[in-house]
Amino acid sequence: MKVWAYIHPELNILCCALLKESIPEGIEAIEFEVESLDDVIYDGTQIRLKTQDEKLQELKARKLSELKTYVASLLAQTDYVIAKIAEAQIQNDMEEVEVLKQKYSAQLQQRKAIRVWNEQMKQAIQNAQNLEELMGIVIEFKGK
Amino acid sequence: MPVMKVGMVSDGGVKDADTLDGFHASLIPGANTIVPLNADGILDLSATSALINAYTIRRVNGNNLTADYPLAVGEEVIYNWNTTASLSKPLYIATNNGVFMMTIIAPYQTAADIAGYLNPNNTTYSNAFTYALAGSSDGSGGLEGGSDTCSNFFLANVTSGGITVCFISTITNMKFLIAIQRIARYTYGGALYILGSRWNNTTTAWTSLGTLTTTKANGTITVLIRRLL
Repeated sequence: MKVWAYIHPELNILCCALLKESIPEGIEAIEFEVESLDDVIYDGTQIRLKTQDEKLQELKARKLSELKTYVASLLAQTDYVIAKIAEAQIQNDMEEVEVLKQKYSAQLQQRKAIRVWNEQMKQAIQNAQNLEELMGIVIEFKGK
Repeated sequence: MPVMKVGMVSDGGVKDADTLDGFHASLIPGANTIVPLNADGILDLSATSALINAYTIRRVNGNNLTADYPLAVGEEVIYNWNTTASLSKPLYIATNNGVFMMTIIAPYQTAADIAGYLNPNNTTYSNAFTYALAGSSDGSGGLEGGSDTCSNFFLANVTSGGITVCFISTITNMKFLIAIQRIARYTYGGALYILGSRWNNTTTAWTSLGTLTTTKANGTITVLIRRLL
């Protein structure tokens, strides 16, 4: 799509008009053809399109953040197990700790699997060489 | 007490008077015309509107708009947004410190999560917006949440498929958007999200409701916007 980028004279921020008639009067805007509205940046000296590497790094950060949120939501489902074991440990009741570990061994094993998968995903995201490869990484834990 | 009916006189002498107080009656609405109920008992005003004090009952076809339309309170605009033809849809609605309700219905698909945005004044403003959202994906068993800055109003996966209802305040010092959505998700099939978004600037006027944008095509999306205040 076409956008017209300019620095807003009062707000002093980068703006992109999606319609030519939305450019404020008296403002000189630069026309760009973009795939995404996020593609245009102001780097402190000029308004320009992001480089492929900038896009890649940005998408990596977004994917890592998405992964972090997803893993947190997976682990949250069995946090009660950790809370129970931690309580027993605080009370120095090691017998109870062992009982709980036995009782919740399946949940503990799954938490371990989630963490291993999380590390593998992090590596895959960080090692991605291009946008296509990165976009092909699906954040979905299948070891449930 | 005898009752006098329209079209009759007390002595029963006149029926089917040609006019009532000088106005003709017709099933076809027009200027200075009395429209009776039709054969189905419906008051059919067709393409015209009924103005009730400050409340207008009228549906406008938004696909024909090319300049900002001064939407009245109660009036609504409907659009068919072909996202294959264009990833953006200018709404062409003048706002004037109004409050609006926007309903977006997108075709159901689970191949990808597709984000959507509302760009007020048909413009992005770098990092001038913040949002917070909470929700849960089907079968995930947990709550998801997050917040971030944005360059427009983030509407989460509005164009993924499903239904989203938004309430929008365009009041200059309170430019807010609240959305409730039941949407498709590629990993889970579906999700419920509630999100609130704020344009942090309190001085810039929101004069044009703006342009909807999506990150990926997903067929034809129906958008219905009604002015509430």
